[in-house]
Amino acid sequence: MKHFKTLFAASVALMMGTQAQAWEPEGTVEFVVPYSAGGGSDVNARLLVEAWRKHDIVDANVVVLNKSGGSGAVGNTYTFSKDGDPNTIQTYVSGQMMSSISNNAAVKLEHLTPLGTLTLDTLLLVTRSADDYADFAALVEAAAKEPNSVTIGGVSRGSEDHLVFTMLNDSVDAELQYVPFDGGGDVLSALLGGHVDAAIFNPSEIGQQVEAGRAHPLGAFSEERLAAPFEATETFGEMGYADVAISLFRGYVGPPNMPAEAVAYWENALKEAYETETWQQEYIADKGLIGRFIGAADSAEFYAREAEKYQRLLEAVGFVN
Amino acid sequence: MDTLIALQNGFATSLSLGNLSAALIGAALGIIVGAIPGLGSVTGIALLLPLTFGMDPTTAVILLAALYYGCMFGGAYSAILLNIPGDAPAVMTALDGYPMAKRGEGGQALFAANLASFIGGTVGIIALSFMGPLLAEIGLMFGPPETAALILLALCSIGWMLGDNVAKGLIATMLGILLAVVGIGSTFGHARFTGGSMHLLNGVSFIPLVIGMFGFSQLLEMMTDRPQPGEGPKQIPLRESIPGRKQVARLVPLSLRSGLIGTFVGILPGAGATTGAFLSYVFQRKIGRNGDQMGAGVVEGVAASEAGNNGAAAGSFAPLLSLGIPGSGTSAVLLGGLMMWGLQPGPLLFTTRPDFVWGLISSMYIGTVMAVIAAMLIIPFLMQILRIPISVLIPVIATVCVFGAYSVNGSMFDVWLMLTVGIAAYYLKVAEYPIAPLVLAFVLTPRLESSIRRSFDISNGDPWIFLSSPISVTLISVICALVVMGVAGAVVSRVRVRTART
Repeated sequence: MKHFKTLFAASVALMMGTQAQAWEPEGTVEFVVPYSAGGGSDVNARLLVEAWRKHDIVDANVVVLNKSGGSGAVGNTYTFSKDGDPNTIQTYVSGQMMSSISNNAAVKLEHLTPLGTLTLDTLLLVTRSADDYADFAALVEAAAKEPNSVTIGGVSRGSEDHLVFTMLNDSVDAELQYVPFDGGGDVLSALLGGHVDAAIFNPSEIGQQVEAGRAHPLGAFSEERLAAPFEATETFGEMGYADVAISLFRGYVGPPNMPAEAVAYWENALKEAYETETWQQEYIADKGLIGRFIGAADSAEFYAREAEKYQRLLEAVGFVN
Repeated sequence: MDTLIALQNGFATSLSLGNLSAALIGAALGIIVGAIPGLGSVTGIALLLPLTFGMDPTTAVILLAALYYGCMFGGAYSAILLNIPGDAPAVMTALDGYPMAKRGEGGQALFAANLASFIGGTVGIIALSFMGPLLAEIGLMFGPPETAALILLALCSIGWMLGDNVAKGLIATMLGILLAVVGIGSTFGHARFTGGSMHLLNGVSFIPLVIGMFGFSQLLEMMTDRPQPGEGPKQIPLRESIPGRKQVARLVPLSLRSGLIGTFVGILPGAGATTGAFLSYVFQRKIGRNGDQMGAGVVEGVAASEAGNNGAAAGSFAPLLSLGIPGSGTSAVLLGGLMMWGLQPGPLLFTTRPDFVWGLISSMYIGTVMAVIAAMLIIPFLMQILRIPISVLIPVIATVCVFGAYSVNGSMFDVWLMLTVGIAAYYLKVAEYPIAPLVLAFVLTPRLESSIRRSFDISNGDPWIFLSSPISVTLISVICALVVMGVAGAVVSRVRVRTART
């Protein structure tokens, strides 16, 4: 009987404890990735889900949902349509923000709810092999002979890839030709098949191919040199193209009017995932990224500032008027 | 020879008791998931994936590969029995499968579908085992202009399916093209023909469209022309439905051929299992015996489509395993799985983790066999569906249609879309407009558009890019030859009719 009482008291305490706890997702959480599977955002989302699962940070079943198309607008629109839903989250990267500005898309940053930022990333210009173009100078030389004859693949028009391409194109004495694809996987097929001369990738998308000798980096759009296998790759700054650099953020947003307790929950889930060894080792270190946790409120401010900067940059290169 | 040894080692792993039961469970689950309209292999694997992270990677992938195969089998069942293709590749299966079921030959159609799925899948897996990396390299040769030419060929060959009234068929095809351009365009990110509706920004959803076009319009047809009591077709009993030696002999060569076509299409980036099933089907219609009867309900149609889409499913693994490029929606989800299990998909996977790669490939053989066994056990129960009186069947199908349309995006808009499309399709059918060309044009058009735009970007607007490689030259010559032959054939036969009259 005594045991029973203790048990009863314990279970009451347990129940009260659960009740007192803050909001937690139930059932299935949709993790929207607005780009095709296999691309940078997709890898990011899937590894985050893995860190959540492995370290028991998020209890619910989180399903990654690829809603690609329209330079991220399809995914943004989808998340926007889930107004007030605490069970929908989305990857949000600078490229999405940029294309929503350059396309004057219906769903912009101010329509979504920032939850946090985990990584800063950059881009690389890559060719198939050193036999095609030994370095960037060789590529420029080839392009100078015949305008628009050298093709550079990247993700959709108005994306981060397109922006760095334009910055680069404006700095060289040649006309390069940009070819937009639906997602990172498609760009990779086109580069490996030799259908484009060079292509723009995140380091995490192309590292394996470089190690296998199937791709050859020509230059990094970063301020500083990247980690292996790109340690020998010069930045465009080093090559004398002073302003051709970009720092990209990888963050997360929720639908409009996401309840405050859900925002707090996801912000905390991101912070806890960031601190796990899984995330630090398998994502940040293995993929040569710059890890940085920025909370929900600071991210909102940071994104707003970046949006202004992109607006300016995009106007300067003539994407927006 | 190395391949055989590697494969043998793979089998040693995949034949353990735990892995075998994983294969059987996966196959059974897959058949159920595949047979439910609205749920397909992508959703099924995505739902199951998180549950497999605790497992040994090889067991996990065996479970998922078996689920994938089970889905391919299951998708045919709802197409044959209810005329509701569970996913895109099964559209072609419904064309002949449902008329057969209506005539009381549902059992035959089911068995033919299983046999062809098995053969087509096995052809694909054998090709993957022995030529995987080579196939992946061939896939890379298809750049935007080659892909555009291939999709254009597929789109043109819709003409072979138009039947007697070419004008109506073309109108249906055009309707499909029009529906496909609704939504945000992939090239510029601008909204087209959305009428300001947010729901249409993502385009017209495929599953609700197919459920409406096939399933719901079917339901309306059942309600309007009710057969007299006792007049329904006599069901051919199960024992007589099992294909005899003669029928097997008829189906094997065509399944082998369709499996090869499917495998080839599966390895191409951005072509997909639907294109695989479709090209196998039209090819069979053009060259096979019974070709002219396809569409009216012959086993050849069911078999060509099923062998084609199973071959394509296996083929799509070649670029994934050899290069780390996902060739289909399902292999994209599996790509995520690979990364979660701590594997780095890419060109090094074959050398760094041969145990995993060969374990997966050998498990595909097992997955297919398990799917066949599970399917054979299920068929007798499925046959009972055909005995359900129509008054009970109608509300059941209506529920399935609404549920299937809703479950894709969890959106009521899709349900209204399904109902609208269903009613429209009913009137189209009454006016004798064919539905299949519409659905196929809807699937193929977005792929055609983006590859054409990309080609022009590469060539800087020069159309000669479409004739710049041997592959695209060949494909375009085939297209031209078909068009010329088609027109010439029509003219000749008209002249003959006229001379016969005089």
